[in-house]
Amino acid sequence: MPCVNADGTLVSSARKILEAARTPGTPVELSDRSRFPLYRVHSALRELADAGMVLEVDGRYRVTEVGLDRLGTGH
Amino acid sequence: MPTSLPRLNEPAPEFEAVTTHGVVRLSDFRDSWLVLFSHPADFTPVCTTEFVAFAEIYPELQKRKVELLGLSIDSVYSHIAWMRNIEERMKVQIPFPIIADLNKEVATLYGMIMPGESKTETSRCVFIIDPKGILRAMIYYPMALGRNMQEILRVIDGLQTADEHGVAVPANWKKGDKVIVPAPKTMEMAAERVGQGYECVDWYLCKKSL
Repeated sequence: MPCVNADGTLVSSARKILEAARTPGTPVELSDRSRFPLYRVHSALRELADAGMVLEVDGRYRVTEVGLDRLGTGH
Repeated sequence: MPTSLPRLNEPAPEFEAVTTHGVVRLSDFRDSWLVLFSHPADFTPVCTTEFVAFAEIYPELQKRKVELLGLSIDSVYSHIAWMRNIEERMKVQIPFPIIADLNKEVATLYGMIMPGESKTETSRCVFIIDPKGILRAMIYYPMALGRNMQEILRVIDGLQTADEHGVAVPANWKKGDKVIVPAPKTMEMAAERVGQGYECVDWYLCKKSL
């Protein structure tokens, strides 16, 4: 999974996109906040959603409890 | 899978592919322009000069809201090794993803393999796709000929100008040059064209500045 390193930590791009999703946002908003191109945000969000780290509601993505755990910053 | 050729002004064929930036879909590029291009193989001389040249025009492409996506029938490990080699040897970072199309799925979908040239490598194809996912231009180069980056920029400038202003662009046009007013479609329009302030050679060939 390209979002996760071999040691289980998030790759830096995934971490930044997940951080951006602390405030729910559309892919465009998360792209603006994380400063990653939109295609990378779409790609990362698919993987993060499959892993249960973000949740999509009405086109907006927000970090989940699982995602917060992976960010290691507590709830 | 049957070989197909995409057609201009039709939706570009959708795909999902493994790239050096993870798994991407064509639809991930919606809302921006995309230059999808293929090269014959990693670690080959002409392709290396092209990747350096693509990296050099990347800032200009970004100004035009254009993303780049490369492709060859090589593994993602080969792509990574080649990108690292280019960075190490030529001090150039390749900022865009490259599809590892080992099963030739995308290459076949877009008609990138020219069996007369090679049955195992993609030719130098360029597909320009607009923000709505419509294929707007195709350029094919043979393996022995490296692409002209200024021409790719010119095509994008021309398409964006044509879309924005409802005009066409003449031969050898470049940004800032006069553009062509679409030819009149009726006798009435042809008659009324005269006196509208355009620079006309005749009723069917009129130019204007933007």
